[in-house]
Amino acid sequence: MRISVKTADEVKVLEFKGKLDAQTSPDAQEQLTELIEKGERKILVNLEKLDYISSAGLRVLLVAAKQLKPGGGEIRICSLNDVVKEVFDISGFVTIFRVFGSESEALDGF
Amino acid sequence: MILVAASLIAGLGLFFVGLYLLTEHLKMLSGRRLRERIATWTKQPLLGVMWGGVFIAITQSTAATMFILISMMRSGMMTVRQALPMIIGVNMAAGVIVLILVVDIKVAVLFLLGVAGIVFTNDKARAYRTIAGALLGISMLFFGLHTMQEGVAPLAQMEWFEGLLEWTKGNYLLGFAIGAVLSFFVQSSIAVVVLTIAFQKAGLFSLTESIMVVYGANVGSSFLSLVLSASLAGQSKQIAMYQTAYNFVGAIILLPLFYVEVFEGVPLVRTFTEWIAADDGGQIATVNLIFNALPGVLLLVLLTPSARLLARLWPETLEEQASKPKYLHDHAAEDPDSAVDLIELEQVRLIEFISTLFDTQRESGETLKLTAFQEASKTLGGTIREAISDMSTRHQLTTEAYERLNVLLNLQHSLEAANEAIGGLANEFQALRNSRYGARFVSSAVEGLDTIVLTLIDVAKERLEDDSDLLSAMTSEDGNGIKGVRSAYLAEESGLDATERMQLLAAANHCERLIWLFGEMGRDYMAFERK
Repeated sequence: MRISVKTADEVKVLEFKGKLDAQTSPDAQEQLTELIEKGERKILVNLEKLDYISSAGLRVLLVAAKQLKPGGGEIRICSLNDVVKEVFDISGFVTIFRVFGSESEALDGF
Repeated sequence: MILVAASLIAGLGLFFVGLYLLTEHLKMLSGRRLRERIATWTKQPLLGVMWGGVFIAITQSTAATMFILISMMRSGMMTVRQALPMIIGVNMAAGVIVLILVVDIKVAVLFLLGVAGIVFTNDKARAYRTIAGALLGISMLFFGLHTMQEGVAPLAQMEWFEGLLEWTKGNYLLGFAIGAVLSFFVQSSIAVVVLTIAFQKAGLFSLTESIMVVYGANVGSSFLSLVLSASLAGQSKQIAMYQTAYNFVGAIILLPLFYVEVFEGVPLVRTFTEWIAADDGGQIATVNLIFNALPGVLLLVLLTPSARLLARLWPETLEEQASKPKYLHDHAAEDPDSAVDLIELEQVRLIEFISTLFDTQRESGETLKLTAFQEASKTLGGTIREAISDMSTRHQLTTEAYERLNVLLNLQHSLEAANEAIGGLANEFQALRNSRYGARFVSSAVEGLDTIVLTLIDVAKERLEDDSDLLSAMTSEDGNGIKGVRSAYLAEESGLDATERMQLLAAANHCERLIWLFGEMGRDYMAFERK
């Protein structure tokens, strides 16, 4: 899986491309943790190019959210495809994360 | 010949049904007190050897006894280490039994089958159902063996068979092979040895030829054990392979000695048996006793290294590890406070199994592995319930302690209900995988449910409010998106046919139940924490 990082205003935007599963999750976790430890408080994860997410991948997002919470930070999600959205729905992640249809919507008011 | 084949297959089917019934009912009977008694009976290896001898005296079949021991080990009644000396005793005593004219136990088996069957199905005898089930299992196991045995009995009267025996004169390896094949099909090396005595008395075999037939008969029964245990793994396989190896060890020692005696004239087994016994029957029986006793003496000395080697070659399976308590022990209930902690730890293991169950669905969709894990969960769940029951009956507990026990019981109910729902879910998943959309739903459901279980494990281990809040949100009526997913799939445009929609509906309902159960368990854990 490839992760590209860019900055939009004060928001760090991470785009995941490929699969976020048990094999690729550790790298993703490491990148997110590194950003949070550097002081980033606003993170947007763009999943438009993500084909598949497993429970390990969902846990990466959950851990990042827990790490951001004490410092008042927030993680948003955008651009889920149908398959990934289904996993978010069944796991109840739609109540934990703010999920947006596009990157621009997610950045608006962040 | 068709009747022979049909008898074999019918007998095999009865054998395995009997084995299943026996294992399931032994599990129910296997309480802490019975385990303590068996542990006492088999504490010393020599005591185990003695009890093994008692078993074979009753059963007359090393294969049947081996599977009874495997069932006892699987149900937690004994360890592999306790079973090994019993296997030695089974084989050594099998040698002694040929010396005794034994009563045909077929009549006893038929009576037992009838009585056990009547008691098992009688509503008024519900209190005895478990033991009746175990006895029904044993009697079906033997009836299966007898059916196979009687099915192949006509072989001994057939002309071509008698002709074959003539052909073996002087051809010792052929005699060995005949003994092995006969023993394999007749299911009893004892029966083949008795047959060999008859053939020798009739002048069909000399003592030398008879010795090789007897050796072959014993090795053949090991082949039988090998074939019947082909699907076993882990500790069950250890017991089966030890039984198999027993006779191979005898063959490895005695076959070379046979040829040294016959071709080099060195006085060994044949000379010894001619010296010990004057009559044909006594000589054959002595040969059989030597073959069965010699490996036993050697293996008894090598018990500990044998157990280690078996464990290395056929390590405990994940399912076997899963079914045994890791924290609870037989005396845990003596200290109620620490017992509660130990029960909690075992219940967390059961929740972790649920995540493992989802792994089996993710990797290959094998329901076979799922079934094995579910069985392991049931066995461990039984141990946990027993511990809870022990605590409440042994001690005068405080109100607070009873409340904690009540929470543990609620958790146990939820875990058992979850285990059952996962079984139903897995069946629906197997059917749904055949279609593109069905397979997609399966994949999403597995990941979604596993995420919730992993969060539940966080709650169970750490009891943090944050984790509890997350779990509550994920499993709440609002957060639970399974309804929306279900509706989307059931809509006309989904591309599923009517059968697939019913399967998906059933699967989604199981998912919904599981999500509710996980949320309930999370609430119980936090209530437990506050107590």
